This record gives sequence, structure tokens and C-alpha cells, in this order.
Amino acid sequence: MSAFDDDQDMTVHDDELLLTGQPVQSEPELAAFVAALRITAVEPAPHPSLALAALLRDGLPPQSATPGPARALAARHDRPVLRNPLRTVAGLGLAAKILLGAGIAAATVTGAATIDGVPGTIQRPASAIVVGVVDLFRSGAAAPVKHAPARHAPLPDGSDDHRTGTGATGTATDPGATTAGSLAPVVVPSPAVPLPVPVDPGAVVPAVPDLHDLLQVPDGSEHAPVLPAVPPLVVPLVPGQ
Amino acid sequence: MLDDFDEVLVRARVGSAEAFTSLYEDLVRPVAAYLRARGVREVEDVTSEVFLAVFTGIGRFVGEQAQFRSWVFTIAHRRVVDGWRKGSRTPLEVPYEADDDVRTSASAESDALDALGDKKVLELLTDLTEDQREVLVLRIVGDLTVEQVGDVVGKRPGAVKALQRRGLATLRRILLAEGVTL
Repeated sequence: MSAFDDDQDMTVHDDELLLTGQPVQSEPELAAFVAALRITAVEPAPHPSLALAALLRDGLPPQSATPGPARALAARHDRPVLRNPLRTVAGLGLAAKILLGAGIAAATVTGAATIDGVPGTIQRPASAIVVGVVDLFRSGAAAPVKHAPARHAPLPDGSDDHRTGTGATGTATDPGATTAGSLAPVVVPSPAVPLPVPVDPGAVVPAVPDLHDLLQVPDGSEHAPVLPAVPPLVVPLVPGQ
Repeated sequence: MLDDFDEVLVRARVGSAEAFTSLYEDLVRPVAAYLRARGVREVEDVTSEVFLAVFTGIGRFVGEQAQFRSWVFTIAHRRVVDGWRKGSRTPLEVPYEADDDVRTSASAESDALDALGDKKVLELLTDLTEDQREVLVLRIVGDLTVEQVGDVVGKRPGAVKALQRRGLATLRRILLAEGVTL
């Protein structure tokens, strides 16, 4: 350590002593200056303004303890402001990131294919992609739609009817066919024949024609019946059943 | 310094008048002295504005007593800077006039000190650069550490140390050259 460094260290040390109000014998003038400046901080206080005097006398209601600036600051934090797009994207979930990326890619390709100013070397492959995607959608729309098989539900008598529903099987819905803990209604394909409905024992029930009678045509052959359409049956699921 | 600062702060957060008064009495004099040394003309008004801002914003303060002191002086510092911006781009240099000083003296000692050097001290401060003056006043009058001053003025501790060293060197040179006695 050089003599200069020693002097520097001594100066820094003396400065710190001076500034903290400790006596430094080697610099009486500067020490007196600091003392005179320091003494101004113990002089009598100025009078408070009327607003401050009222606050010191009455305080503030508790709801005002959170101040205007602080409320504004909190509101600013609550606002979904996209201050930093990169940070916002980084905070998205994986699915959202994939969707965002796909959306950006689709917009980019579509833009490249449709904007005139794009060079041909870029526009041609982009147009090909767009046309391909459009054709894919068109062909998908024209293709026959495969319907899912009708839901098979056990018959009320406990037997299992494996016939697929053509409207003539009279598939019934087991009111007890529920999913535990679920209250969501299950939509069952419309049966061709009205399902038995719980009946009030005291009520007068009209006679229901036998199914075979309904299927019989005058010439004695059995054909697919033409029955009135029945709206889909909505069976509410009740937990615990 | 308050011995029960944490309790006082808790009560101040819910708007207690007694807590406000404790905090005010603890810091009002150094804050007023700081504003006076920074050349603020309406010391009474600005001091009240500072404490109104402190008490209405105390809900967002988190920290201990040292940080609270820094926070109060940060508000005072910003008031000074805002005052400059409203007026002109340069700080207001107010020549000291003894007749305009409405402060009341609490003791004979204070009287003597006023007579000896108050005017000269404020004059000497105007010979410093703004940054030097700010740092020295915060360190001496505000009784803040280097780190606290750095927080208030937004500078690194190394820069604060350099400013205070240059400021003291300037004062030392002036005092020796003029043979000033305070």
C-alpha cells in the first residue's frame, strides 16, 4: 500500500467521522461547519399546515390507510396490461403456447399467400399450403359422417338387449344408470317406443297397445314400424342411485 | 429515533392520530432542516406536504425504522425536485435573510448557533454542486448512511462516497482559503 493510499484511507476515515458528527482534531473548521449544519436539524419544528394539523389531531379512517397512490399502484398491478409481451407469453400454459404458435403460423402463411407485396418464392408455397388446407376442409365436409352407435342401456327387466337401435327395439333407459357423484343429465337417443313412465297408483292409465299389434300391418307381414318421433329423453343423474 | 417504532407503525397503518404525531415529532425537524438547506422557499408548506404524503401513503410502506427514515427523505427529496421542475430547471437559491426567519429559538444555545453560523453554513452549501449538496445534507442533517442516501437519490454507494468526498474537499478548500470561522 502506497503513501497515497494511506492518505486516501485516512481522508475517507476522517470524512466518515466528520459526517457522523464525531470530533476530528485535524480539521476544526470543517468539523465546526458540520456541527453547525447538524444543529439545524434540532431546531424547533415549523408549524403544520391546517390539513396536516387536522390529520395529526383526528387521524385517518382505517380505509384511508391504503392511500390513493398505493391504491393506484395496486390497481396498476391488477390490470392485465401486457407490459412485456415476452413475459406474458412465457407465463402461458403449454396448450395456450401451442395454440398461440399455431395461430401465428396460420396467420403468417395466410398473409404470405394473400398479400401482393410478398415475393413469389414465398407466396407460391404459402398459397399451396392454404389451398391444401382449404381442400382438406372441403373434403372433410363432404365425407359421410359416421354416427356413433346408440347408447346401449340394459332393459328394465335386467336382460341385456344387444340389438342395435333402429327404432324398433324399444331400448329403455335404466333410471338407475348413473355416474356416481354426477348430476349431469345424460342424453339418450330417442327410443322408437315411449318408455314406461312411473305412474301414480291411483291414476287412470289408458290402455297401451301391444308392441306386436303395432308392428302388424293389415296384410299380416311385419315391417319396420313408422312411429311418431319422440324427442330425446333427458334423464337427470342422481348421485347415490 | 423511536424505541417502539414497530408498534407505532402498526397503529399508523390504521390511521392512529397518536402514531402519526409520534412519527411526525421524530422526523419533522430534520426534514425541515433538509428542505431549508436545499434552498426550499416555503419550508413550512413543503414540510407539511411531505408528511401528508407520508401519512396517507404509509399503508404501502414495508420496512424497519431505518428504511422508514430513508422513505421519508425520499419523499422530501422528490418534493424538492418537483418544486424545481415547477419553477425553473435550476434549483432555487434563496439568500438567507435573518429578518425573514420566523423560526423560534428553543434555547440560548440555539440562539448562539444561529448568530454564529447559520447564515454562513447555508451560504457555503451554495458553493457545492447540487449532487454534492444533496449528499452532504442528507448525510449530516438527515443522519442517513451512505446506502440510505444512495436509495434516496438513486445512486450507488460508490457514487455517493465520491460525491461526499468531493463536497467535503470543496468545503475544506473554501474554509481554509477564506479563514472562515463559524
